[in-house]
Amino acid sequence: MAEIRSIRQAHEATLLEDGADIAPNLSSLPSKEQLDSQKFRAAVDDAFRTVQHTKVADRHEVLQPSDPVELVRVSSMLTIRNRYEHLEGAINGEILGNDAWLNDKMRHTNTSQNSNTILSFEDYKRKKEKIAWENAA
Amino acid sequence: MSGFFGKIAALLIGDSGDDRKEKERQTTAILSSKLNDRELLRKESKIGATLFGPVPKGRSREFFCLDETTWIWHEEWRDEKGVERQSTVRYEVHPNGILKVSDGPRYQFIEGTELENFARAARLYYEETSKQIYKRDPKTGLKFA
Repeated sequence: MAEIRSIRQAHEATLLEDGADIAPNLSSLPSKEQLDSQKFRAAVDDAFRTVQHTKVADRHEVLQPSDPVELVRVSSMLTIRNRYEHLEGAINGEILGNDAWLNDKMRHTNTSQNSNTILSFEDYKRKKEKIAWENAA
Repeated sequence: MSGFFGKIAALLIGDSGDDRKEKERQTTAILSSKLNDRELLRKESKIGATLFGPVPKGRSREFFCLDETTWIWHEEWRDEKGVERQSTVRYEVHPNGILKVSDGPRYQFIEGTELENFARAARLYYEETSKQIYKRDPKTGLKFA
């Protein structure tokens, strides 16, 4: 993290100089009031309250929905879990085992200092497909 | 796609024997499942792109959860001179915040409204992909009956 902070500090000057960031500011999201009226809001809130009672809780600490960072973390985790369980059901968990290895590689190569995000992502997927094909053979 | 996989299956298991077709069918099914991960990401991304309202004409947008700690935002468009432009932003989930890494590269921990909106988007993403793709109740994580 210290390394990331130093990189961040090094680029803050650039950010200030350039003015508006090219990245999306997410301002086009529905307002909180609009979301509150969405029919699924209650279900989502419940999900983040009750999910700690599911098997996900075996692997992760208690949720804190009021903390946005925690909310993102949990949402990521649950989405990935869905994806893997979907695959696991289809192929008996074969990919799941490989993913652990690949994720380690991904973390290693896809650091904050590496701007080739999509390249790493594509590499990741290519490796994954290669393994899938090898397993099939 | 089945023709393509069929050819691959034939390459993998040979082209002789009465049970060739059955083996081909099985191999095709396995390959289809194993290549499904990318397709799942594409489907998730389509849903993710809709969370922020309609995509302006002439633009393409992708927004998806890559892994447990990475979210990707990607947009492509043509500027007023007709030149193709693109922008990719990576959001990294760190214990102490969400680090936004954009072209340059530039690094910035998001905060305030942007952080709250991102959290809301992540939550909606989970909610909608659960229901639409994985056919699961986001409340319980169980598959719909």
